[in-house]
Amino acid sequence: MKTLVIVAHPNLERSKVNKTWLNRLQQEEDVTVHNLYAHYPTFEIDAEKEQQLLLENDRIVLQFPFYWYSSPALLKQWQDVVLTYGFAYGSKGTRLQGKEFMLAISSGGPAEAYQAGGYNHYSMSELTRPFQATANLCGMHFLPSFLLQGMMTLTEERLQESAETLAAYVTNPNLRAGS
Amino acid sequence: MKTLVIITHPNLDQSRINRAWMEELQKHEEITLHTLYQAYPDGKINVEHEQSLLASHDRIILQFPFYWYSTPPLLKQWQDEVLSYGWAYGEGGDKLHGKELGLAISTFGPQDSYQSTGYNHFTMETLTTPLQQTSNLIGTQFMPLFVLNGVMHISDTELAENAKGYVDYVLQPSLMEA
Repeated sequence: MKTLVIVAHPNLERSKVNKTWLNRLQQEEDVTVHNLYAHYPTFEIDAEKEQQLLLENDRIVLQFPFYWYSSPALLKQWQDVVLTYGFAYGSKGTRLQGKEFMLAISSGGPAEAYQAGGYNHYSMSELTRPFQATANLCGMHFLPSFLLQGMMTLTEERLQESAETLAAYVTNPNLRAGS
Repeated sequence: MKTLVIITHPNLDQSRINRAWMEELQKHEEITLHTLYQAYPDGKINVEHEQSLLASHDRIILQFPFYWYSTPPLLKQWQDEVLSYGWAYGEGGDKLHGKELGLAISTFGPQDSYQSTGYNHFTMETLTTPLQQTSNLIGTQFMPLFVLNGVMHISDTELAENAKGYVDYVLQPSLMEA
């Protein structure tokens, strides 16, 4: 199984979680790590190259910090420019069907905030429906998200642990429901 | 009530729905129109200017086409840069408290696709939860959605009527009074 991890962080050098995750994932043999902001600082995405990358991999992971309950803008641009009609969706847009799709998200707010009664009111599952719907339309299997939440209480130990767990998760071939 | 409509469409000139909506809004002088891609063709948003625009209005409508169940990228960037800590949220971040926030969205998919048994699986309300929660955090009052689904199938006559309905939505009385 070949995995593509698209990392979208506008200030990766100053990030803690996403940088640690990227560095750890780069060590994995069957994982291709693709730093989106580094490749496209002016937002001019090479759609063909991106589509080729998608075709060459079985599992697509979008890794990003949660900005206003969604992804950073460049990743949104990536979706709009790369997942085209006739490639990713539409009657002839079957190139991504059967692949797996997953989110790896870091959020400042703690897990307890992301539920009814918490200050973010909604669960991560609810807030990531746009990504789930995207995977659905492209015929991809939406896998459970990998989350690291609560930056205020994040210790170095917990961060390193999460990187290990993420690496194991991302390369685990048996993530589909019922598998 | 001073109303600001922020229109975010990367190809507004060639768009049908968003341009029709904008042209109808233009007939009403009291509505402030702000087209984001035109204002920032290079993507370099003037945060101070945007914050000043928001501060001077009571109601903000975000108008955009639904791209992958979300906003066009520039509007996401706008959120990330303009709704800053200490201004829109967090300590001292109360500058938008009490204002009203509405969404006006055009979608390709028809209405019946946006339900659990439809091909988009989820409703518009569900899919716009990120923006609804954004509204919660910045302390604005979230208005009911204004949505036009199935844009390929609307006739010119229906669109003209719909655009007038859009103006009614934009100019509706304050949520507090309703």
